Amino acid sequence: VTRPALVDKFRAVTAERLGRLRNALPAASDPDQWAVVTRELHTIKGEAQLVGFAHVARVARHIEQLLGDGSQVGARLASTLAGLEEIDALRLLSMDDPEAASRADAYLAAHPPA
Amino acid sequence: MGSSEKRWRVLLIDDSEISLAIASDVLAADGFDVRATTTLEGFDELLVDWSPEVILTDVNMPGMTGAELCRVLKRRYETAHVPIVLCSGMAAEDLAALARACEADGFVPKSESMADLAPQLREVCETMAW
Repeated sequence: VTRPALVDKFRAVTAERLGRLRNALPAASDPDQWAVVTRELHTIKGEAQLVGFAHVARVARHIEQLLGDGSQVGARLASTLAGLEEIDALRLLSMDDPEAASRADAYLAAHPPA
Repeated sequence: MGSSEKRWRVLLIDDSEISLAIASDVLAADGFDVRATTTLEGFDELLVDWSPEVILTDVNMPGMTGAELCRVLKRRYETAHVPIVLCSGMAAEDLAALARACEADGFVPKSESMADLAPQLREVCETMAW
């Protein structure tokens, strides 16, 4: 598998994962939907690391930390959705684009861990 | 791979196509005979038709986790003898504990480039040689 093919695949599957995340988050108090949230975030993080999108992995990990164990999903939903929008934008950028990493850093600075 | 090294038949299951593609490439390049699937249905078919010598499973999957899959296979007469290795990006100490809990035969942390995957899996295979 060539690297460009992996990057293309990453962009495509991340778009699908973000769609499932958006659908699951409003109902995340339901254990099944919470499982979707945690699984998709975990996988985005892992796949981003594998294809070299370290900034996306950092943001995904940060959102995991914001969500915690799910007990405060409601209170954290707004900042989490903002984070998802940021990932959605970042996925369109090349890992070689310096703007992607700087936008991720700006997001992380604006959304400190609880 | 040295000419004397065994070409282990390894069956991979991971819901991440990206992870699966990289792991397959890394293992094939190291001399493993690799089949891979993203679904439990595909896994069942390969399990029956191909008879893998070792199974490498992701942990965090929809439908059935890698740990649950391991427990099921270890209780089946036909698959109880097949070594099962968990592979995940979770913290190594957590993965080790999970592997013990589900009676897996080994675990391999999912590193960034999966550079360690082949030697670690080969070590598990050779340790489990029958």
